[in-house]
Amino acid sequence: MKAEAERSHNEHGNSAMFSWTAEGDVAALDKGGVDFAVASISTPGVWIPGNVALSRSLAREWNEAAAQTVHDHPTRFGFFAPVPLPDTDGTLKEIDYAYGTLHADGINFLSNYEGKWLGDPGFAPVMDELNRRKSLVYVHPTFSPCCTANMVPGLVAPSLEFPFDTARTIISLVTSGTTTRFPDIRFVFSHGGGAITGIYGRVKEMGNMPAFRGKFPAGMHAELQKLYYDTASLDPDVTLPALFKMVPPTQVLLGSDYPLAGPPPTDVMVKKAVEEFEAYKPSSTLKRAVERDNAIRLLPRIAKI
Amino acid sequence: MPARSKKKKARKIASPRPAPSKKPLGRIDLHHHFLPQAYMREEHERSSATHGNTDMLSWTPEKSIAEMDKAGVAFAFASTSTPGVWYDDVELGRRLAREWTDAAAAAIAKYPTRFGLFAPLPLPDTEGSLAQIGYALDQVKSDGVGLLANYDGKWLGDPAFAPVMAELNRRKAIVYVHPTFTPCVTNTIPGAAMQLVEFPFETTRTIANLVLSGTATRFPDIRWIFAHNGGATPMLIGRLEEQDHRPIGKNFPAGMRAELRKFYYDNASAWNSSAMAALMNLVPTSHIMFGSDYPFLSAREAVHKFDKLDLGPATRVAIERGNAFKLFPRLRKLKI
Repeated sequence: MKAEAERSHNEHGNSAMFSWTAEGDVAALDKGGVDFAVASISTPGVWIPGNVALSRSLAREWNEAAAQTVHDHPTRFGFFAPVPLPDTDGTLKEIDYAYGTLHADGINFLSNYEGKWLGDPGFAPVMDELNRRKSLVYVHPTFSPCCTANMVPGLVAPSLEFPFDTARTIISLVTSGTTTRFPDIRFVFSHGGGAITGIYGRVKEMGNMPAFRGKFPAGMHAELQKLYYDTASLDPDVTLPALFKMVPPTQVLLGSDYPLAGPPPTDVMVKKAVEEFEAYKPSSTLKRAVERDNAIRLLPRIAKI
Repeated sequence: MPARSKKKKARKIASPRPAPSKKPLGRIDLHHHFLPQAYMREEHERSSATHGNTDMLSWTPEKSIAEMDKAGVAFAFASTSTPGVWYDDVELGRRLAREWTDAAAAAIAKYPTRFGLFAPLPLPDTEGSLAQIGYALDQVKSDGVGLLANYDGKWLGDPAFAPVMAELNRRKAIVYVHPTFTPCVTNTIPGAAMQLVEFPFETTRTIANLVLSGTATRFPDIRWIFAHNGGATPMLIGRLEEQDHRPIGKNFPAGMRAELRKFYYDNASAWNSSAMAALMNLVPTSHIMFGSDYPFLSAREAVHKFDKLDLGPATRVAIERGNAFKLFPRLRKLKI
């Protein structure tokens, strides 16, 4: 974490990040009544532009540290392994290591790498491998080169530009045919897919456009319904209803964004995230599905813990 | 009128499919673009924007009316779409704004019970915009002014535009905001026109900027209408509302949600249950109005998609018709 802080001037997160510990994390989970969390990396991830070797070693270090935490707290944590994209060779090696040696629960992407969204043809070899492994792939937003500097004054990029970027990468994955060509990858998008519900009305008929003929024959809506979405930072009155109108309840998973879900204190963040989801007043069936059963279906090993 | 209904009856008998409704609802369309031919010829030559299609070069008010009749739309407020009238040339911007407004005014003079008008301003030229506000509101008696979401990459809360906002506030003007291209964004989704994915983001940015900059609070008498349900704004309320608790929150003491609830929205392209659920849970239903986005989209399809939603007749009629009468009392005198 220290290395990242020195390298990066991104305005995200909070000072509590520097004191993250597995024990503090477990305490926050306990406070929220959450049994199990799957860890992932946030932006800026592990890619250091122009430095393949350093990026590969950062991915490896993060993954080994995560695997150690999981080893120390096997009943509380799993992890999604970040990979050093856009370096596809390094990524393929890291996928193999993460699954083969570290027993990761899935792979962790950011929404774009150097302005290439995840449907970019350059990433196809990686998608092919993940499809072969029927991977669970967790996608977290990041800064978008088009829209990081000099955007709306007073707003840090995560406020609006991150959700926009998540939506872009979803549309990129569908319109490039990636979700159709690699149907065994289970994609999970954070923050309810960002602004995807906000552009849904405009994109749902994209399958009829000549440019995309044959790329996703089942149509945009069918593809969006195959993806998974977490609930982190979604407004229970406005955004959750929109999400549940777009996808069935099977596709929604609880997310807390710990320890970055706003200013400290961090120890109540998981609890607040649970409360915010429950403010939607889900039926007991829906509550159980989102808070537990949907995750177990994706990660059956949790059931055995 | 009797002749018209007779004709309709005759058609009904002749056609195997019955007409959808005997009594037209008389919808009011807040999102309707005029494409005066002189303006389009110039724009077509000047602009490389990939929007619309060549049909648009032959648009006439009569074509609008024909579509409105088929869709059961009684009245439409005309506005410009992107790229508007600003091409980095002050004189040209002023001339285009004036010419577009005059062409629209001529159509309205011919069909006063069918069209209203949001006159474009030549921003970022504030001096020209102030002159155009006077012309549009005093001489042409337009219903409001039409803005794009940004000018040269400056969103509408930019301090440079404050003199224009002060004047619009003084006049308690209605300001219609339509999305446009964002200068820093190019080709995010290969194969898809930029407006599909990026326009809702741009509307969201300008709404956020208007609130965060304090413009919405400082100029509370402007009645803002945002196209397309406000873009992605409702879905991102969680993120936006966090700003209430940051130092910038002093610019909007009532809070982000309260400011968003003061704005008005048209529902063009948001005719789906997901988008409507979000907006209706965020703002009073009385602030939501029907929009077709004709001629870029079909008004008939807009009506068809919106009417399919399970909103209940009272809400549907309010959004398609009643709410506009509250914001534009002059509609009552038209007996439409």
